This record gives sequence, structure tokens and C-alpha cells, in this order.
Amino acid sequence: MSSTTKPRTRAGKRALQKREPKLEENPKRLLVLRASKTSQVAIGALRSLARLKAPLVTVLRKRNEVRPFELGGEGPLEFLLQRNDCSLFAIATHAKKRPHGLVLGRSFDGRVLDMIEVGVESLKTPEQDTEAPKRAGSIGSKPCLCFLGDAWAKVPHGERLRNLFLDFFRAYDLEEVNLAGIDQVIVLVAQSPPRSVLETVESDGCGDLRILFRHYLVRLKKRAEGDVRLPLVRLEPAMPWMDWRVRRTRFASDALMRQTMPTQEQLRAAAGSTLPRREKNVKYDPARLSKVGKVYLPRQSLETLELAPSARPRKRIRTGTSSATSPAGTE
Amino acid sequence: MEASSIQVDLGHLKVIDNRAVEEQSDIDARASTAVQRLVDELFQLPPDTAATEQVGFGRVVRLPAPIERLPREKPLPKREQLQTRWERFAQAKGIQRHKRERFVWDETSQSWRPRHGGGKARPSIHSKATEWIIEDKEEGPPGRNPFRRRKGSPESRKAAAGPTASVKSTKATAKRDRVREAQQKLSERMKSAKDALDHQLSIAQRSTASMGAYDRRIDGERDHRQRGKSRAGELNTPSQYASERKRALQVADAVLQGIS
Repeated sequence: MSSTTKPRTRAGKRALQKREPKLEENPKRLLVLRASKTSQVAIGALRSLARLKAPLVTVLRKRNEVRPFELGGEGPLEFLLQRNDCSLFAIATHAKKRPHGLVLGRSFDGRVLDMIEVGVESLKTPEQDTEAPKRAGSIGSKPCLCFLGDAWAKVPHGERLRNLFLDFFRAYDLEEVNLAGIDQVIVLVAQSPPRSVLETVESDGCGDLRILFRHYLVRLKKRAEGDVRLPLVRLEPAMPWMDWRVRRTRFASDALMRQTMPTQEQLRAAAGSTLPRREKNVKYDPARLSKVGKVYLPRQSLETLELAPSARPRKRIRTGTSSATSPAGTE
Repeated sequence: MEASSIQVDLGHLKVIDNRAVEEQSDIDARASTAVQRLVDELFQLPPDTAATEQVGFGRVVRLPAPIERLPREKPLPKREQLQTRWERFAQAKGIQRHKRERFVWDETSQSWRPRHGGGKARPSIHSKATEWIIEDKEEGPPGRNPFRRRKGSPESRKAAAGPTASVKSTKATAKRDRVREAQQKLSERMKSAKDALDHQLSIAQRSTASMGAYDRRIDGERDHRQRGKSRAGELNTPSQYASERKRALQVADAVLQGIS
């Protein structure tokens, strides 16, 4: 936020304070918007995503001229992200060349960080789920995330893609969780494209990757046998279900990613006070006239101690003196 | 093996199964296994009893820190640069600036009134400060002022008030002087630390059987041994003859007088 506007009202001040950079950040909000051309499928997918992300979601009803993958085309998107204080976005698009598109991404400091465009190949929305129309996870509960498939690790940028989806769907950062509230899981399955396709894909490597989006409700049942303290998990299919085909991608450079993830040291520095460090190992005399320091020397080795210059003839030690006082080796 | 291919990140409630999924029909079973593993690990976390009681249902557990790192949404907040020494001190001490409240509680009207200005809070008429009528219980000639009588004589007032400000201040001054004197002494002692070192060195130098006669000295080390003062002998030079003669005559005088 490089906004230099000064609030004129108290409410305005509070509103700006809410969106200031913080040490402990607010949960990331999702901005849901439609590009200038959309399709029913794309909008259906968008709506179901918005419902899944509620209440951390801001839905824009009107169409917007956003073409994030075109050169310099992310400007309007970044403006909308800043204005709505969102850092995740989902855009429904439709074009003859790329039908039923969905652009999913995240931003850092109001700038687009990572984004991918997927084509929605099949979609089952909650409205179509005639079997159990009322089934849904409780709104706003933190979903479990399950990543299946070997493609996440195989495909270049696959791990980044997984990281993006984790960021996208994780909702809140929790320190504590009520186990009774674990009621939904989002399953993302990555299927590698056939080898022939992999070789022809030029840019990012995860083009043509097939991602299956599945949403289940988690039912915890009592176990009849075995360790009865651990419940038995049963998954019930809940909509939306989507099959995606990855089209265009744009990932941030590793250097930029490092910038977005501060080190522990930087976090401490940001959290710490501005006081200068406490002076250590320095003492003053009571009148503060002089500084007293300690000089640390390594322990002296008595083995190699040379008590008298070896070149000179040694004085004979009288027999009366105890040998205990003369270190070994002098005799 | 299945167990090793599943990785759990409890902090994110995330579970990964790295094996390939060939058929769509496999997804249900594979997801169930993975989530079962996640739930097993969650239920093995120690429960937070206090939080659970507060919620009243279920079982609250404390999650470990997430393993996978995610980018921040915004950069770290910039630290406010504290310019003055006072600001830094105030921060360290937790001193916060706050304005004096404009409104104060008014006992008389039992309401909040402005501290100053129109309609301001006033002390109660029943309070001592604004006592305007008292009963004259004392017997005596009429016309005596009961307020003045209650106030007492100037001497008794003085005695009741304790030491005056000037006395207190003298005491404080005396104390301050004592402290200063002690500080002064200390500082003098510190200034003569070099002398003290020399003294210590001279003792050390004399502390061998030979009184330090055969000790080797470090480069630049002065000889601090105190030597006995040789008695100043008379100089045997012609300029001293007069005084020597005078002394000899004095002795002779004394002898002669003593004898007589």
C-alpha cells in the first residue's frame, strides 16, 4: 500500500488502519470478478469458488476490462485488488480461442505474484447436486487440503502451483482448531499430461496439466474396532467438482518470492523495539567516571609454561623444597 | 509404500499423497486414506482442556507451526523511527501520552461537567473547602469568629503542620551535600588510581627475598622500590666551615656551662 491519502474522518482512519501492513496479517481475501467476456460455465465455476471461500470473499458483479496475461494488462486488476484490499483473485473469462476460462492468482503488495489460467472442462455446481441439495460444510470453516498425484512434484513449477492452491484455499491461519469443526476437505488431483505433450509445451512446463478439483464433506464416525480413540473418516462428495486444464501461467521469480517470505531475523527486527542494544560486559564505577571492562584471556597452559629461560643453566633446586610446588617438567 | 508417500502438514491441515492417480474412480479411496491419516495425527495432538471447556463442545487442539511457507500479502510494517531521546525512553518505559480529560465528574450535580469554562464542575458546598456555615459551640464573648477559633493560633498551626518547607529543603540540601562529598571523594580516589598502582607495584617489587634486587624488569617498568632516605650529611666544603665552627663553639659552650 503506497497510499499517501490522509484520512479525514475517524472511520476513514480505522478503515486505513485495517489494511495497513501488519506483522500478523489479516487472512487473505479473494476478489471474484468477471472479465469483459464470460460464459455460463466460467461464471458457474466462479460462483461456486466464491461460495467456498465465503466469508473471505468480495464479489464484483459487473464486468471489468481485465486481461492479466497481456503485456501491461494487469494494471486494472491490481487497482481493483488494492481498492478492495484483496490479495487473491479469481476471474471468469471466455474467448473463442480459450473458452470457459478461470484465472486464479495471488498478489503481493498490490502486485500480481503468481497466476494461472485454467480451462473448465467439466463442472458440477452445488445447484446440480440433486442428491443432497442441503449438504455443505459450515460456512467459513477452515478446510483440510489434500493434494493427490505425482504431477505436483514432477512437472516444473508444479510445487509452486501446489503452494498457490494451498494459499488460495487455506482460509485462516489457526493456532488452535476444534476437531469437531473439521468438516470439509478440498482435494486437488494433478494428472501429468502425456509425455508427448510435455515435450511440446514450451514455456512453463505445467501447461496442459490436468487438475481435478473435488470437494468432500468429512464425516467422523466412531470406530468399532482398533484404536477407538481415533475416529473413522468417511468422505461424502459435495459440490463443486471441476476438471481443469492448465493453460497460461505466470509465476514470480524466486528472488521476488524470497522477498515475500521474510526471514526470522527480519520478522524479529520488525517486531522489536527501536531501542539501541543493551551494552553488554561493560560496567561503570559508581561515579560513572570510568568504564570498566574485562579482558578475557585463554586459560594458561601450565604444561608449556617456561619458568626460566632454557638457554641459561638452571639453578639447582634444593632438596628441601617440596616437589609439589615445582611443576612437572622443570626437573 | 503408502505410508511413506503421504506427507502431513498439520499447521495447514494439509496432506499430500505423491503417488500417481490413474483413474478418476480412485480419487475417493485415495483421498479417504490421506484424510484419515491427517485426522489420525490431529486426534493424537494433546487437547487444550481450557479452550475446550470454554467452547463447550468438541476437542480443541493446538496445531504445530506450518511447515510449508507461504508468501505474505503485504510487506512487513515499517518501523517507526523514534527521533528524540525522550521518545525512545518513553517507549522503553511504556509511557504513553494522554490528554488531560476535558470532562470531570461533578459531585454536586452528579454529572460529567467540563473542567473549565461555562457550567464547569464545582466543589460541593458540603465539602470542607466550601464550608460556609458552622455551629458556634464555644462559650465566650459574643462576636468572636468561630472560623478563626477553629483555625487555632499561628503557633499551634505551625506545630501541627510539621517541618516547614525551608527546614525540609535544608535537610534535603544537607543530604545532597553529603552525597556530593562522597562522590567527590570517590572521584579523587579514582583519579589517584595511578598512584595506587604505583604503590602496589612498589610493594610487589620489594616482595622477594632479595628485596627485588635481582628481579628482571619489563621494558619500561620503573623501579618503584622505596629506598630508605639517606640522612643528609654535612657537606665538607669550605663554604660550610663557618657553620661547622659555630656548632663546635655551641657544643663547647654547653659543656662549659653544664660543668659550671
